Formats: sequence, structure tokens, C-alpha cells
Amino acid sequence: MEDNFNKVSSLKTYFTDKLKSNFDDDNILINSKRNSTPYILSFTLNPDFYKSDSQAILMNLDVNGIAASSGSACASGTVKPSHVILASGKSAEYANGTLRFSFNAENTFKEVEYTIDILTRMIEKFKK
Amino acid sequence: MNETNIYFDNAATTKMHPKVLEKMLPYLTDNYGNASAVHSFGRKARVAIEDSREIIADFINADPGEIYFTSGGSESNNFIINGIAKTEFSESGRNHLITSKSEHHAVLHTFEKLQKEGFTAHFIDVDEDFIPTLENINTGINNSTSLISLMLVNNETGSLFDLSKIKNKNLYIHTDAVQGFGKIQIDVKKLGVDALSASAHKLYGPKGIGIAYVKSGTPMESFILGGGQERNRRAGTENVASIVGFA
Repeated sequence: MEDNFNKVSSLKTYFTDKLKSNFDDDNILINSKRNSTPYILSFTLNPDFYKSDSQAILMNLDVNGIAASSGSACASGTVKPSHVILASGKSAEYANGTLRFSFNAENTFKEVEYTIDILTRMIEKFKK
Repeated sequence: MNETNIYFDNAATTKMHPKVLEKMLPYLTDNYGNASAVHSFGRKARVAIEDSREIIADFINADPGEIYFTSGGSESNNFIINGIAKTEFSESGRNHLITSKSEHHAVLHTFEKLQKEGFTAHFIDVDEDFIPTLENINTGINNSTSLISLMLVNNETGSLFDLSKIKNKNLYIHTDAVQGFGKIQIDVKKLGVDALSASAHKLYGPKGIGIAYVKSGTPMESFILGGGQERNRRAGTENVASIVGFA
């Protein structure tokens, strides 16, 4: 359990650092910075600069072979803004721009690098 | 067609570990006995279940008699919250329940249903890091509060909440630990919880199997009625292969 924990911790740190180096701090907002599990990385495309459409981003990622998730719960075909994000006082727009990447110990740094590359190119298209 | 296959959705579910499948297979084929039966087929299944229960109990510093097998995290949440709320009400008259607005729907919808049945429920706000504050928790508690349910690790944001910070011991504390179990160290005694929910498929196990830890002495009615399985609290022939897979 500890080995897995250390592995995913370094993956999440690597992912977060790459996001920080490829984007301005106020473009990509990391959620739950203070105290969170290394197994989950949640971040939001700042709705001031980007269209809040995590579903479209997820589909684009999927086309590129990457399976991730959003902060939204999909119920009966309609996408509602995540109640979790709303509970913290954030807007529905913020909730709809939220993505979740969750790791296991078999994920690799190479996978993170590839994902960051794809994300960096893709997110350009979502600029307002 | 893209050849890449990267899976970053392990909070949704995980790939089953080959060793898990290997352990499960005999109980899907030759060892098919009903664990309640007296013959050797039944005894094999019973031993497998109780060994698994012991392994899981050790893992969170609980007693085997405090572990109940369920169909997963959602059922455990329903089972525990309903069970404690209703039994505590009939025994002491306390009818007030607390949770946070950022819980899983298995918790939120159970609370809403109990509200419709006459319980009063308080849904506390979370801070900008999606964590319930102690201040909000403490102001929410009153003399008729019987149960508080807060998740250990949030499934969407990964936010961690340390339940040992809740010092009020005059109520029952439940935690939905589905995203924390097997990933971060959990000691139910240090955490100070009376009940906990977890699921196997979030940590390389099969889907459709979970546990409810319920501290001995906690008032809690049964959820599924029928045979006497799981010490009369959760009837139904045990899912032996999945239980073995969980452990």
C-alpha cells in the first residue's frame, strides 16, 4: 500500500508541476490544494478564459486514447453541474470546467507527459 | 484508430488484479457450496468467508464480528445510515442527522429519504477546499443528533477530511471511505468512527462487493430481511467468490 501511495504521489506531483509550467497559474485552477489524496487530481479551466465544457474535452481526450472524468455527474443523459463543486460556493460554470484524473500505481510518467501534451494543444481550442 | 490506451479514471473503477481473479476462480467453479450448509461444500465456503472477514478486519484494526459484507459502497452507505438513524430513534428518540453537501449521492439521497420519513437532516457547507469545517460541524450538532456522516476522501476532488477531529462522542460517526480504503492507512479506532463503508472494485477487486464496518454495540437494524446471514443484519446467500476477491 505504501509503495503504491508513493508512486501515485509522484505521478500527481509530476502532473501538477507540468500543468503549472505549461499554463499560467490563473488559467488552470487546481482543486483541493491544501489537503487531498494523491490518487485524485481535480482541476478547473478558469471560466474567465475558457469555455466550460469538460464533456467535450473528455471526448477529445478519449479520441486520443486517454480516459479521464469530469466533476459532473451524468444522470439520465443530462449533465448537471457537480454538487460537490457547487457545495464549496463555486459557480455552475466553474463546475462544468472541472476535470478529474485519478491514478493507479501502474500509470507511468510517460502517460502523464503524453496527456499533458494533448491537453496543452487541446485546451488552446477552448479559449474564449 | 488510436493505439494509445491510458486509464486515468481509477476513482471510477480499477482493473482487477490477476491475483484476485486467480483467488476467486475456485469459488466460481468447484467450491460452489452454500456457506450456511453443514456439509463439506458449505464448510469450504464458510471458511473462505470468515478468513476474508478476518483479513479485512485486521486491515482497519477492527474485529471480524464488526465486518459485514454488502454489494458495495452504495449499499453500505444505505445500510449504515438507515440502520443507525432508525434504531437510534426507536431506542432514544434522537432524530437529527448531519452530513455535508459534498457527499456521494448514496449518502445524500439516503438522508433526503429519511427527511421525508420525518427525520431532521442538516447538510453542512464545505470550504473552498471542499472540506467541512469543524465550526460548521459543531454548530450543526444538537441534543437530538444521533448520527453524523462525512466522507474520508471526496470522490470528485480528492479532498481529505480527518474524522478524528470530531470530538463529540455523544453521537455515532459514519464515514464513506470508498476512495480511501486500501489507499491510505485506516485505523477505525484512531479515526474514532463507529461505522465505515468501502468497496472492492476501487482497489483492483471485483465489482458488486463491499463492506460495512459497524463497531460492536452500535444500534443498527437489518437492511435486507431473509435468512440469518451476516449476523441477522444482511440476509442473502453470501457472494463467496467476490468476498474472497475483496480480501
